Amino acid sequence: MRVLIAEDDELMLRTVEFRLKKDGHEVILARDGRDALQKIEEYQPDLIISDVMMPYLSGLEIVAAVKENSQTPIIILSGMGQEDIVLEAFRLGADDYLTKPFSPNELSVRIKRFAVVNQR
Amino acid sequence: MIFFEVLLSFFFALAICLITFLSFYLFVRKIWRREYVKWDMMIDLLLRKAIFFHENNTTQLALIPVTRRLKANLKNKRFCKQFVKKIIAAKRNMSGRYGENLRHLYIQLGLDKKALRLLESRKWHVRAYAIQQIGTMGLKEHLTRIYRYTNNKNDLVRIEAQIAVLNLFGFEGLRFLDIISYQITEWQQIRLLKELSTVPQAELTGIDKWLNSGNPSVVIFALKLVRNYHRYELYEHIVSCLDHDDASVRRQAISTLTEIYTENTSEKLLSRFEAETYKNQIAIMNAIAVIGDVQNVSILLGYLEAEQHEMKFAVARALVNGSATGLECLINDPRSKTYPLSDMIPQLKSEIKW
Repeated sequence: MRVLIAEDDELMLRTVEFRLKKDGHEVILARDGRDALQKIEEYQPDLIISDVMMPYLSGLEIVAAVKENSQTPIIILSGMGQEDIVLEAFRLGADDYLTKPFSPNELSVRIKRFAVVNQR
Repeated sequence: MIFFEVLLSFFFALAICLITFLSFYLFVRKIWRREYVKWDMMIDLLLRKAIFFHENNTTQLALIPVTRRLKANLKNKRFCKQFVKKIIAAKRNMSGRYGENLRHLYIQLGLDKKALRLLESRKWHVRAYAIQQIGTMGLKEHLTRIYRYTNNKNDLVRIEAQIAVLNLFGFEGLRFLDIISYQITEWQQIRLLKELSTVPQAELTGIDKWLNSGNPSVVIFALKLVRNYHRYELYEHIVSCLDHDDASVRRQAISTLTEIYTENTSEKLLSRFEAETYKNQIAIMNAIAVIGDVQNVSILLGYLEAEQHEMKFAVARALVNGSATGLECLINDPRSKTYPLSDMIPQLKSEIKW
């Protein structure tokens, strides 16, 4: 599966990339919201994992832009205590969310769920 | 003439010195920046290895392999600071075994001992940073070292210590409320409540004790806990706070009662209206507008005589929302034909509609 990760924290980005590559996915990295939107258009990923707080464009804006003209599933990474943001993300069309701190294993399991749906 | 020449030479020399200094400064900055980029890569690589360490090593006690170069670099203050900053940020993002691995690395590199040494620093910001590290890395064994700082005279050290204790022990960590003598500012209360929202909910005991604290800010914080966690069993304690000496405590109690109330709460609040401060009177009206259940509408109609528009509006809103016949009584009142009530009523009607 082709997965795009949008995250401005380099370590987090690389950690998630490491885990997803180990799981056999093709990974595209984006370090800010603007970069993410460009790469989504260019690479047409099967799944998007996006942080909420990012430079130029937030994760919520990415959800809104992507869901306007596609059904690509999106997993939002939010901070603890940001329930309002998560609700807003779901309202905009996000498919799942993970709260930081999170376990890369949990993310892996959730991606597998989308991979199964994608194969169907 | 000579004077001007000397003055010119002086400024010229000064300009040369300034340019030399700035060039040197920018040069050093450039070298540092390059160093930081290199360090970042080195640190990220190690942290990544550490995060996934348990997936490749089944032995619990195995040490995370660290290069000699990195160990040597840790003696450099700037590198060490950068490393600690990164490992703390990573720990905040990772949970379970992955987070534990980072904690393991932190201890393995002796950074916990460094943090404990920093606790003894005279500089408050260094101490606050050390406390933050201990809290984030979950070093429960050092609770006694940071617990005393929860009542430190420096408010930034104090809040970091309080948050660290909550990080380590969740709701149980709130025990520091038993002993603190300093005020918990509004901002600190927001930070504590936010921190509590991230810890798993457990049995929250001791609120009744804090509601009787001699420190008004502790009572206010306890009232906020009651409100946020809907502790209905403490209703009578909240009502008794309506008689507290401190007006801000009474105001907080009024606001808490809008979340946990009974059928006669509105009456209890109304009976205290006359004796309250202006701000608290407004709070009472706002509370009644939420709670409702007003038996005696005529009392509220009497308060419409207030001169301030803010109060008039609060009373009118309490009337409309607090009683089934409130709006009708308000419209039938002769004062409703004149300004400002004539302008307020359409807004209140629209509020009901929505």
